[in-house]
Parts: sequence; structure tokens; C-alpha cells
Amino acid sequence: MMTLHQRVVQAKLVIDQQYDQPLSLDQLSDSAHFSKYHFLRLFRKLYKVTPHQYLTRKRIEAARQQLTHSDFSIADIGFRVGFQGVSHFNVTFRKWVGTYPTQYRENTRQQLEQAQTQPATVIPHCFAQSYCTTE
Amino acid sequence: MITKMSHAALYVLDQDEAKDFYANKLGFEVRNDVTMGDFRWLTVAPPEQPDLEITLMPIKPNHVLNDADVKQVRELVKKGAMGSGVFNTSNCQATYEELKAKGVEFISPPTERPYGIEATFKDNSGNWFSLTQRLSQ
Repeated sequence: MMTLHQRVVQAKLVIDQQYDQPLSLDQLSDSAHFSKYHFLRLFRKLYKVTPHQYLTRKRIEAARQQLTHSDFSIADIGFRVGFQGVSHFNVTFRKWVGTYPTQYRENTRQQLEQAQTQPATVIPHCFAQSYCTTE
Repeated sequence: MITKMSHAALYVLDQDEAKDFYANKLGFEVRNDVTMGDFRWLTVAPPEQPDLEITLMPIKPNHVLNDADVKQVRELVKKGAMGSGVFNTSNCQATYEELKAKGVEFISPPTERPYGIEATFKDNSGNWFSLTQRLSQ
């Protein structure tokens, strides 16, 4: 027999694993075997955000990863993480992250490239001096 | 004056396995994974804490540790004598259930303390942490 907590966690894990699908509150509350209202209330109580806010956060986190580490187009990434249209993706991304996806990709790739080619820009000198034995 | 802590170091037995644990079990972000010579700088952090990086440090001979030290530190890490820290959560019971379902080893279940509700768990090297829901949350 699952506890209340376990049932809400179960629904959160559905979001974690299926955020790229068009998940509705009905589906999520059904997966946890709660009424919509009860599920919404319990989810907010446990995670301090609504299921929809959490779903958006997961999509944005996944988009940030893909923008940094993949070569998919902005539109493709939006669809791949569950947004229904590129303009919705752009607007939501900017609202959550502070920049548009294109700018974010450019900035993070620059930072990543700099870190790879000039590790001294990210590794504190005291660590490098103590733990790096070949340079 | 000191304004904040930006990096904290934690010895781990295997950096790849630790990266997998922190990213895929705890849901942390990998902030840096770069190498300088033979040193791999691997840092992770909770997604909601942008100004902290936890450095997952390899245990191998270097300017600080000799071969005997390495052996000793590895044993101490496995024993849980080296690392400890406190992670905050908005709900200890829910996070406990989730991490347990993902295979994280808990030392103690959620328990009421004077400062909130706390469970303790180990990472896959042996370092232990408190998972705390503060009273005010």
C-alpha cells in the first residue's frame, strides 16, 4: 500500500521521466490516484510549486542541457523537451532563464569552450597547484 | 568580509560513478567537467543553487597525497569518515521516498529534530549527508 507521499512522488517521477510528453493535470492526478484538486494541493504542499510549474522547470532544465550539449535547432529542442511551439518555448525560456535560447546557447558554449581550452579560468589555482601533477 | 562559499571539495572513490550518482540520483547539475593535465575538475550542484559548486575530487597521488595517504583516504571515505554536509529539501519525507526509489542508501529515515525533519544518506563513495527540511520551510 503506497503512502500519500509515495503517490505524489510517483507523479513527480512521471514528470521527471515524461516531461517531453504533453502531460495534463488529469493524467498526473490519475497516476497518483487522487482527485485533481487533492493532487494539486498535496503537490504544492510537498514541492512548493504547482505540477505545471515543476513540469515547466524540468523542460527548461532539459532545454538548457540540449542547448549546451547538442546541435539540434532551437525549434527542435523546444519540441524535444515538450513545448508545442517555438514561440512558446522562446518566451517561456526567457521568462525562466533571463535570456532567449539562442543567446543562452551562444553564452554557454563560449563558457564551455573557454573552460575546455583554458581550464585555468575555472579551476582555482590552489587546487590546480596541489592536485595537477603534469602541468 | 567573506560574502559566501562558492566551492566545497569532496573526495570520491571514482569520479565517473560519482558524477552519475550526483547527476542521475540526486538530480544535481554538472557545472564543470574539465581537465588540466592529469587533474579532472568535476563540479556539481543542486539546480536551484547557482552560486555553489561541489568539487568531486579524485583520490590519487599528487602534491598533497602520497601513495600511503591515498590508501588511507580511500579507506576513510569508504568508512564515511571524510565527508559530511547538509542538503535542504522542501519536504524530507517526499525526497526520502524519491531517492530511496532511485536506490540511494539511507542511514536513517525522516526523523523529527529540534530544527526540522532529517534523514541521512550516503553517496556511492561512502560520504554521508543530512537531508533536512528546516522548521521554517
